[in-house]
Amino acid sequence: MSVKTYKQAINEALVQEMRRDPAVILMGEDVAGGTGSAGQDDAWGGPMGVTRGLVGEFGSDRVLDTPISEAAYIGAAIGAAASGMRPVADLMFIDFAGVCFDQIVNQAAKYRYMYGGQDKIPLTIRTMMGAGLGISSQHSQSFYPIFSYFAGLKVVIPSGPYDAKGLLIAAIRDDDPVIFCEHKMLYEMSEEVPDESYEIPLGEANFVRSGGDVTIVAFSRMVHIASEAADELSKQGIECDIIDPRTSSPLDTESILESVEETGRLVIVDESGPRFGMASEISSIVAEEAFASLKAPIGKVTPPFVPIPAAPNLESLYIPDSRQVIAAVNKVMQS
Amino acid sequence: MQSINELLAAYRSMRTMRDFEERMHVEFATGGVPGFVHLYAGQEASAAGICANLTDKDVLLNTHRAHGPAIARGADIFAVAKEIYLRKGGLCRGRGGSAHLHDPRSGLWGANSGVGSGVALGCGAALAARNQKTGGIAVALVGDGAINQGVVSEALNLASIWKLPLIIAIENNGYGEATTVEYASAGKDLYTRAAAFDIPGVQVDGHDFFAVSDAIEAAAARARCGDGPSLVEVKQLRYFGHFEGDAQTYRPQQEVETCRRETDCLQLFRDVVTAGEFIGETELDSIDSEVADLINRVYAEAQSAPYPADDELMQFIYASEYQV
Amino acid sequence: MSDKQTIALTMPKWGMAMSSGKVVEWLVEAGVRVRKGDEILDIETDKAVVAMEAPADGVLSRQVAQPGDELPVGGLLGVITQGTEDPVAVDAFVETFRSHFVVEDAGSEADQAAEKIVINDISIAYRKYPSRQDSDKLPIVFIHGFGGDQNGWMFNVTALTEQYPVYTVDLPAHGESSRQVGNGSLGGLAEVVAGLMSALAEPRVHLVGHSLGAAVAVEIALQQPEQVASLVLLSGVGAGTAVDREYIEGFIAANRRARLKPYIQRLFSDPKYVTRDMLEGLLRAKRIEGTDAALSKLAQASIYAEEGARPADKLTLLRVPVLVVWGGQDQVADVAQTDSLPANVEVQIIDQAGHMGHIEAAGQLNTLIRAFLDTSH
Repeated sequence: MSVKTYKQAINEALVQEMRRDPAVILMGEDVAGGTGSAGQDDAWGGPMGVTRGLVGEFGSDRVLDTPISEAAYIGAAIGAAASGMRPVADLMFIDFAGVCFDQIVNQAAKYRYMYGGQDKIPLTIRTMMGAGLGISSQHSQSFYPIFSYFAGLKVVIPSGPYDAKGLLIAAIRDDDPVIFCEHKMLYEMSEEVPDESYEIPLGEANFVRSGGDVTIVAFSRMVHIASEAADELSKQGIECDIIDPRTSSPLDTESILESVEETGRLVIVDESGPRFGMASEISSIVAEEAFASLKAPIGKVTPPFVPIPAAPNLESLYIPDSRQVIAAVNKVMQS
Repeated sequence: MQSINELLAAYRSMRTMRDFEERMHVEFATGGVPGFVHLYAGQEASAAGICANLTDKDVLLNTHRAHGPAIARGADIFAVAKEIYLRKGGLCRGRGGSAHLHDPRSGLWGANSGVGSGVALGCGAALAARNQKTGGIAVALVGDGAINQGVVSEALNLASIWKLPLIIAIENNGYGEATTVEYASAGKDLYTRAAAFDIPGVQVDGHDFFAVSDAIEAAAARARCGDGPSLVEVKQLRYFGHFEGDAQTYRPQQEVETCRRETDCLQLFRDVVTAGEFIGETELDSIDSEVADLINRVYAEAQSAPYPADDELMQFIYASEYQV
Repeated sequence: MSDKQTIALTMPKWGMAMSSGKVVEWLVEAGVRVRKGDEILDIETDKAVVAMEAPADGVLSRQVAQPGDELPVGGLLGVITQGTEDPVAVDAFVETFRSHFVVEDAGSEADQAAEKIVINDISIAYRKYPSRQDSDKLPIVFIHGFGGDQNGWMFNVTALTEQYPVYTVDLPAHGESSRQVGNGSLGGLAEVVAGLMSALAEPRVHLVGHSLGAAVAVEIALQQPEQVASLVLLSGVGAGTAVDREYIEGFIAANRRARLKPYIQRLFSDPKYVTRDMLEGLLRAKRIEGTDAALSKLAQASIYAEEGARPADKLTLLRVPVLVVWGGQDQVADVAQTDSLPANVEVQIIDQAGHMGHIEAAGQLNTLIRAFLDTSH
């Protein structure tokens, strides 16, 4: 056990899985960085350095730099997965899903079902999401709920290093296509992470905090925003349950309902949008399944319905913060 | 050069495809066939010429015009018909239908309604074959319409830089749906696109089994020895519309008749093989009657098969656990 | 009113990770006389709901904290006085306490890390807690049960370090120890624990074992009698006629909270003890690659292999004082096993506890252990 960053935890998961199983290969833009150049062939390890060092250990047959061709290499990863490999394809930014959407939602998601259950597609697509770096609306989105729409896909949104490692290992070993969404503002976050390999099963929420007065469901980076808010609220005498579902598909509705049935009050904090997003989805589930338990209308804390601006003041207005969470909790506590 | 048995097998394959589709055309008109069906009649030399060069380690990635290649690759024709009729016992349990015939046990992948994606998936099949050292190659079929999708260009580039054991076979039947290739595609000859990706490209007469087979044989040899991908443009015409029910008012009146009369792949094949002394007309005629009998049995069985059980609706969404 | 007579009842610190606790309910009315060791209120931590004992004889003059209140460690729960006290004086005491109270730092992660040492090629995690008294008493070594870990003793360590140095240890395949179990037999486990004591230069210790840990303790006492001063065996005697295989297999197979919960609830007399944090802690250990296989091997070699053996056969061979403590509500190991124990064994039944007496009835168990060690030495 030692303290590791989110980035190191992800790297360690990849290394351990590649050592364990020769069928695991990596492909993506600059996952090595420098292939074919006169200089270093491990120059980047991805734009954030997450895959640094892998090409050195596993070679360029297993760590493949790709051209800027998301449709081709995500498609190739699906084909390789259908052939018995376990590819981890790196989609640099979730925003770029726009150029390979067919591969993800019509090929990967449908392959098993449409072809009558003859195949499995053990594919992991690692991708980076989230606002906060001032890099505007084509590099900052968090539209992971879109993938959660599709039967056939699984969607993982780890909120910290411990979860990131265990969930990535589970994703790689999973026999279905998994979209693994890393939040770019979490890469330097650190905590205790076991050195050993371990799996966190997909579809198991984490109770980050058990307080009993109000339920906060938060995803990815928003788990930390919610925790900040809960610390403040505790001083006011309001104790929060914080549930991090860890995966949006499958979604651990059982844990959410268990908590809401105890507290009767729910606030959802998410960086995906206010419409058709996770907050809307969970509101709908709770309204259907636990309406009688609710003592107050459900609170939602999400960004506004707007593309993401780059200017720091505007971007920080966009990203949900703990004050908004506190206000939302106070509101649901009033009823 | 094929043996006599191989030639007879190729003929039987083409005849089976043809009779299957001619019968499908008739059945569709009676209203008994569900969904969209895209018939392969006229193009049989392509599938037969390709499959004559494939082994059981290879993968053929099908297009939505899927019946012929599925039969040529050796998928169970009863299961093919049942899939088109969306019945129990279909290749894909009645979930895919005509445009999604898929039989990995026969080395047949796909059929893909998004059309161009098969080339990208083929890159992956080829990459896996190389990585796993199976000796296999992949052949991605793609239509003249689909090649204008970006994913095809991306995949050609990827296949070339990674030197993948892949053959891209463009089945150019002259029309992408109702739009002519001349209108839709810049450059008169599609095979010339290969040059942009620094891979060999050839154009062959797609009604000539031998021309197709020779081109694929060369491309497959190149792929198998690690020299990388090739592109083969197979020029031909389809005898029916884009899908059944297509009145084909966009086509010249005589186009199909002329082709059926002058360049029908089955007739051309018969002419060639019976010119020598080893295969006679009667031998081929007896194949014809065996195939006719088979097709009758196939349709009777498919049409009387039950639909899949209702409780299959929620099966096979995930291979692994998906629960909370 | 002197300081000696008035005692602040404060939120205890059970385990190093504990920074606060919540008052569930008072078990004693205000104004009632209590004796040292009486359970006076239930406190909920992240790990469990535990009854807190009165630290001294006296009258519970004031219930300062109310059910539902969350207090930091050291925070004021109530006031115990020697007699019925003037409320104004109690008010003044409360006021003074509050004005001086500072929340303690819960301690950094590094402080909480267990030490590790390699015994028989297995990395073994342990912790040492010095006695709070400067005494020359022999240390107590706590050995947890199947599927548990050393953190399970958090409600006992503080009480016993008052007089004794304490060690807690993670058995092979448990807690932070590595996932090798050797041949997985009781003898092998005993060798590891005995080896740890030798490595730590502790020639003679008291052993407190729970369930499988009790079996390990018996085995050590048989193998290395000179190393063992006494044995406290909780909910286990080293062999049993009624091994709950369904519990063991279910525990090993459960990889999710919802699946694990019914098994863990079975360990307790009341499901309220099973918190989300307790389950998450167990799952964190179980998730480590190789755990389930190691636990299976261990279950085969050290539990199933002993099935049917008569506990009396082993216990009669022991030449050290033995205390057996069992919960009357134990659902996985039948309390009836205590009926046929040899005469050299002292038996105490805690009527209200299940299999996890060290958590459910921590105060009673601590009192029993102290009394046993006091009288036998």
